[in-house]
Amino acid sequence: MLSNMETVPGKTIVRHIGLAQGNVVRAKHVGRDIAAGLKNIVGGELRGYTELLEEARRDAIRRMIEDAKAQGANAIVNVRLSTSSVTSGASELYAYGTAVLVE
Amino acid sequence: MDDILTSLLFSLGPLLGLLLVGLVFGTLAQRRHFQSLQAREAALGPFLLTNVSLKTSDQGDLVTGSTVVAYDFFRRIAILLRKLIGGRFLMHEKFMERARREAILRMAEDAKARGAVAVHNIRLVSANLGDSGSAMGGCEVLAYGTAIWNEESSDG
Repeated sequence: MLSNMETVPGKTIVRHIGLAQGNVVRAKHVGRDIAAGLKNIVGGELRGYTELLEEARRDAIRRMIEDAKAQGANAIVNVRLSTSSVTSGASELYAYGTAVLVE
Repeated sequence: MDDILTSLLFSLGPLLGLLLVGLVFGTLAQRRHFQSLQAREAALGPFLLTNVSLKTSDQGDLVTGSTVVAYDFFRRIAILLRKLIGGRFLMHEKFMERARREAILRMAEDAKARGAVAVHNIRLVSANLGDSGSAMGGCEVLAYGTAIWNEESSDG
């Protein structure tokens, strides 16, 4: 169970376990880079990159959940998501939160 | 004289072409996007979005919505020139507004499709992809929050 509030709606937190985190660094493949380069002429949404980051974010969240489960938690509260570009052409997606045990 | 003109046309032609293509398609795309945003926001109907954490539900889950947007060639050059004199970047404001509304809308649509009644504690983040200032890459805008399913009272 995930929540980006300090609590899980409708549940009582029994124990705070600690920080759970997950990160993914992904690069776009050359085909997508070229398509995005062309899209840069007319502007608008870079759909390939949106999809890529969505997938990467799902991965990062999944890793965070695995980390929390390994620590014996059944929910994560106060989840935060961030994106940074590591080098040109690659991005890091980072998800972190507090692993907790709820009733 | 003719030689100079032709060579000038050859060297400047592609640039002017790109500027024109960027201006025309960029402006069309922007108008279309604003229309689509308005229509989809109307279709969404009354849907509570807040950035405070209300504890008024017995079920909640994380929802996200994101988009990656890029400038067209014309606007990128225009902004470079605007930087020389400074002031308000109206073009950039519109651009970010589009991206942000799109991200929030996607999040809200996702939440609604899953049967939620509201999204609370919304956070917005944006990140530049690729080298800042380079031609490549774009800007990512992400909206995320906790969707809730059955609101008991709005003042918690």
